[in-house]
Amino acid sequence: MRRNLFLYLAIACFAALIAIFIVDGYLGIYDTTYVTAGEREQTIEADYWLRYPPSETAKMTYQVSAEWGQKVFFRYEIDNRRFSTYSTLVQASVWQENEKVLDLFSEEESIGPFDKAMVEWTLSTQDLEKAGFGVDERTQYTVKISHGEVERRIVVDLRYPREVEPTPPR
Amino acid sequence: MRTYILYGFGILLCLSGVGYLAAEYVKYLSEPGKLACLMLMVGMFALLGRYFKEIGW
Repeated sequence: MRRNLFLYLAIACFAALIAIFIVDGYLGIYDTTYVTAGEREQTIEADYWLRYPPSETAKMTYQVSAEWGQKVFFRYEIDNRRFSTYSTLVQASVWQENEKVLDLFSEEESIGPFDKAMVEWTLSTQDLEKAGFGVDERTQYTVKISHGEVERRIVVDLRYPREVEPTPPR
Repeated sequence: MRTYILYGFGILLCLSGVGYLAAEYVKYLSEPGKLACLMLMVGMFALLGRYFKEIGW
C-alpha cells in the first residue's frame, strides 16, 4: 500500500508537470503581425519572437521587401490569453538610424480575457517623402511596433524600381 | 538478449524524443513555471526512487 502511494505521487507529479507545460505555455499575451507588400502577405507568428530568450528578442528583426511607391499594409493582432483584461497603448512608428522618421499608428486598446484585437495601418512611401526621406537604390527603414513591454522590429527593405522599357504594342 | 537490446533502444529513443520536445517547449514557459517544473521533476524522481526501493530493486 505504502509503496503504491509513492508511485501514485510520482504519477501526480508527472501530471502536474504536463499541466504546467500546457497552462503556462498557452497563457499569456501573444501577437501576430501580417505584412502585405506587393501581392505577398507574410505572417510573423509570436513563435518567431519567442524562439530566443527575452533578453535577445529586442535585438531581433524580421525583414520585408517592397518597392518604392508601393504601400506596405500592416495588420497586428494581439491575443490576450489571460484571465484579466489587457489594456495597452499600441504604437507603430518608422525609424532609421535610431531616429524616428514617422508615427504610423497609436491607439489605446482594451482586450477582454481570452479575446483578440486587430489593428491596421499602412506605410506609404509618399508619407516618407513628405517627411523628407527618400530612397537611393535601396534603403532600409525599421517599423517598430510596441505595446506594454513588448517591442517588435520589422525592417522594410525599400528598393527603387528598375526602369522598364515599355513593350510596343503588336 | 536481442529483445532486451531492442527494449533498450526503444527506451533510449523515447527518452531522447521527450527530452528534445521538453527542451524546445520549455522556452515558452515563464520563470516561475520553469521553477515549478524543476521542483516537480525532482519530487517525481525522488518518489520513483522510493517506489523502486520499496519493491526491492
